[in-house]
Amino acid sequence: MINFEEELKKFHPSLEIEDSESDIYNRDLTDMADLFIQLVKEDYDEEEIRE
Amino acid sequence: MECYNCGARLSENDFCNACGVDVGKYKKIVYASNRAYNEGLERANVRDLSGAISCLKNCLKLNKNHIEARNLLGLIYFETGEAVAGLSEWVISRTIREEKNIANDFIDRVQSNQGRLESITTTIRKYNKALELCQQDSLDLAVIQLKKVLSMNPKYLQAHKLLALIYIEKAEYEKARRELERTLDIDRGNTDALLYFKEVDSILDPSEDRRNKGIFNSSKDNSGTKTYKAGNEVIIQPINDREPRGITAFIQIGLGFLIGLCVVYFLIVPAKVNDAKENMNADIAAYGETIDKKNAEITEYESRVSELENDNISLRDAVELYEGADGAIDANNYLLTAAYNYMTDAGYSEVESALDLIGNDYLEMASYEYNEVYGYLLTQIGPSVAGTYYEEGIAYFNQMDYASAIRSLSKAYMYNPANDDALYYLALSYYESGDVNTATEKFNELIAAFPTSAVSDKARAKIDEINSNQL
Repeated sequence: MINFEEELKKFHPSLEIEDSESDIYNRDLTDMADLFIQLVKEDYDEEEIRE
Repeated sequence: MECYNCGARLSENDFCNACGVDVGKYKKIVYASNRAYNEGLERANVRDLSGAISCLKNCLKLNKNHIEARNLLGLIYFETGEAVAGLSEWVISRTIREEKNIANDFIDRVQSNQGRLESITTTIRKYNKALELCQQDSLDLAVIQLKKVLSMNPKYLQAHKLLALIYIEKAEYEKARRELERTLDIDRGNTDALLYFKEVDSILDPSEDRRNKGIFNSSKDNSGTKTYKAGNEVIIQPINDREPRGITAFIQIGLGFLIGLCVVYFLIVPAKVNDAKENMNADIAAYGETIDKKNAEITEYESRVSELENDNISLRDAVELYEGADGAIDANNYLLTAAYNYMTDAGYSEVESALDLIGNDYLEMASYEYNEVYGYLLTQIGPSVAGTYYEEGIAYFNQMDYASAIRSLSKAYMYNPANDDALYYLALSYYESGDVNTATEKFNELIAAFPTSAVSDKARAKIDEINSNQL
């Protein structure tokens, strides 16, 4: 059974031209590769500290 | 693929040949992003845009620098009406790699068409307004807005879905179905649209309810009926009512056809036949009247023809009387000629010739005056003419030309009835020519006319001779 109110919540306003700049700037472009590199660097730093 | 540490090109090994860092896991992440991109591309090719968006987002989560995935994602957003989201992706893509990037072309094309850009902006604005109206429970106004949006951008996916949802809420399931069909034409894999479509389908086609759980019943009436709107009509349908299918439907249609045929045969056909008969009878009566009329005319014409024929015969007889051998016209001419010849002293022979042409038959029916004139002329010329004919007749008799003698002596006697010798020799000519009966007749006439004449005695002797010969 379709609940109108619940389904309506799934709809969000579309981006307007004025919002595009802020959307691009605020977008978090961190991906898995970045996380992996960060993890590798953290491991490398820890090894250096131990040494 | 480049090394994340030094940027050198990576080989097949799990380490960088330039800086020596471990790139095994990094490579796996990149490979996974490529797989996600490929899957997104496949889905986009079959119009499963929602599925493609999901795969491409996963690809970009694994590797944000995947230019192709980002460009494709922007393209899909643009196709589904989310133009600004698409432009954003292209801008980011251009930022990551400025040269040899198709995103530059996409952005240039959009920006070069200002009218189109404004139209896109307007549709987005109206859609957002419609969404706001829905949240404020102003569904009718929202419908109007959404219809405007879709008239400007028929591929605006979210607008189609929202409009379908509103129609479902208003129980206008036919309209909802149409909108959902359009949505699925744009994006075949849209799960929300598929879910809505399934619900709407189950309402519009209750026979499917037995296979599905959770039947949607829009009616609050507990009498076992469903009430819903189809366009401007409100339809009340029993829940468990099934439309006949297969053989049953065919039998029912056949029965209906048979009943229709019977109605036509027993009710309509007799009336038509009677009408036709009445028309025919009327025509026949009219033809009969015409025939009678014509027959009467024919009878009348026949009687007139008969009368005219009789008149014709009478007239011909009358004409013949005037123009025939003893016709009055000729007879009058002859008498006039004879009179003229007499008056002009043309000679007795001329007068006699004209009088001779007048037939005895005409004289019998001629008028008194005519006979008087004829008789006068005859007496004037008679003695002279009679003498001539007598001498001629005697000459012929002596030559034994009895036929000529008869002609001449007949005229001699006619013109001079006192000439007993002419009558005697006329009788003798008949006797000598073999016409005994006429001869006897003439002899008797002579005896009667001239009883004491010398030739009468000769006539009596001749008669006795004839009688004795006959005995």
